[in-house]
Amino acid sequence: MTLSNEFTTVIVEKIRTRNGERLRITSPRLGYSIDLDPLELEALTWQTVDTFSRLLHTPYGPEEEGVDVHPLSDLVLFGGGDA
Amino acid sequence: MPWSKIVGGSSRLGELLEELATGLEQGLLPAGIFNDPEIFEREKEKIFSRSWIFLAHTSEIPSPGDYVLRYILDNAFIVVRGEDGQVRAFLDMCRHRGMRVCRAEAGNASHFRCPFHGWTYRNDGALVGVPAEREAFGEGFSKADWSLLPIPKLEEFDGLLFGNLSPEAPSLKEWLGDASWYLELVTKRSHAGLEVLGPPQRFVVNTDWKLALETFISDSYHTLMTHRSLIELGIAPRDAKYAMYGEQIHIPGKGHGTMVVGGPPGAKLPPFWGYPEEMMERAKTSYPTRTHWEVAKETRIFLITLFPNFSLHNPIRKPDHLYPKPVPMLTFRVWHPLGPGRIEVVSWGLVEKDAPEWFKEKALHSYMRFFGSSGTFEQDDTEIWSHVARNAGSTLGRRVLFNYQMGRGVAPDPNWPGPGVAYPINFTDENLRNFYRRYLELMLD
Repeated sequence: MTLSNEFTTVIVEKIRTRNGERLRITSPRLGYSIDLDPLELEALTWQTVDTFSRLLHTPYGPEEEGVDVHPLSDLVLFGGGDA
Repeated sequence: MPWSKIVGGSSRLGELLEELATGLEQGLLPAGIFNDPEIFEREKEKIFSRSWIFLAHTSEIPSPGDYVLRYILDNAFIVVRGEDGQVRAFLDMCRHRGMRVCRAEAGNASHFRCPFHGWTYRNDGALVGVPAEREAFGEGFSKADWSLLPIPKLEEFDGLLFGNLSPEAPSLKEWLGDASWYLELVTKRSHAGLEVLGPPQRFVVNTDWKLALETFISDSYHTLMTHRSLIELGIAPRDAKYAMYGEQIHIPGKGHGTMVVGGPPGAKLPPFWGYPEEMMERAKTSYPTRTHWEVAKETRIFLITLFPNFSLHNPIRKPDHLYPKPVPMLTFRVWHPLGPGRIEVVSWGLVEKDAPEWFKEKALHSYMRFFGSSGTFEQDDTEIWSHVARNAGSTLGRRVLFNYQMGRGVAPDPNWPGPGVAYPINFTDENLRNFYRRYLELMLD
């Protein structure tokens, strides 16, 4: 089943494992997917919109934490000599 | 002192407003006010930037996350029901760089994600997501300072949502004044209230917003000729003067006006617009007063226009030539100004939530047959309006004075049981003279 609004599209499907079943939610645009079991899904039922607002803190998926960002100038050869 | 000094702008704007001010009480209006760029610019500032404008009916957004996009002038507002059930309206403009965060006309969303840089807002307006927030904006950045901008004022009357661009505007209750008594004839006709029959139809007409609303506030006189074909087809009552037999009521100082039409003498029309008898009985307990019910029982056609550009039309009609009985229909409309001589008509069909299903279907047929883009009455009207606007904008035509003298000298009806000033015959321009008094007051303010 595909659910869409103007912001995104997700595919929701029930998948079978060897011994049970899960709900697979896939984001074809972002390339993420998650398989949720009934207990995880049940836990969603008492969440408020705040939970999802927190998840959307990074609106396009997780961002790497603690990345050592260097300016491009660090990569430029020092010395100032003639190339 | 020259009028151009009073109102600013060019001498042409001053001349038009002077002609309006000096001619109004004599029933003379300059055609130029109906198609003029300077008049339109002043209307944007003096009328539409501080008046209550109809945005939506609550039945359009019944569930959390439901939203519709609606407009006041060139401003787009997301009218949305939050997860907490509260209705809000936000300017559809990302606080980062101004992109629209919501480009669908209607939908359901818990969050709105801007397609430009990805700033993401919860449907209560709070900014919750900023890509690369720490790297791009640093530790001191506060998302709380960058929520979507709420409309300055948003208020509801019995399911009707109105917005106002001015934070200083009076309350909606004060703005409506005694017009609310007449609105209740429709909004309180049942305990369940109204629901929309689908999304509104929208169509552009080359006319002025004032010309359009005139038909829905006062001009029953045009039905004699403009809609004559429908009389000949037996769809409208046989007596060509059918819309004359009613009371025309205005709310002094507010600009609002209403028409309560009974029926031609001797015409066999059912009471209470022809609504099913069970609905008429239920209304005895839903109306706030017995007087409401007594007025409604004798009503076959009802219109109200709220200053400046909201109209409601609730006539008895036959859905088609085959159906044996008359069926009433209800439409709301906004005369949305796009520019001088150009409007977008936004037209809703509505019905009582607790009406029988068979009746809802007939009411929808009736509405679509007569109003909206496929409607016969609508096509009759819009064709005429566009030619009037064209003449009003022409070099010679704009200097012509229109006649608004119908009904002058007729005394008000002392026996009318509702509020406002009522006149005993619906062939009168009283409501228009009242409307333009209010219009002039704001335009000169």
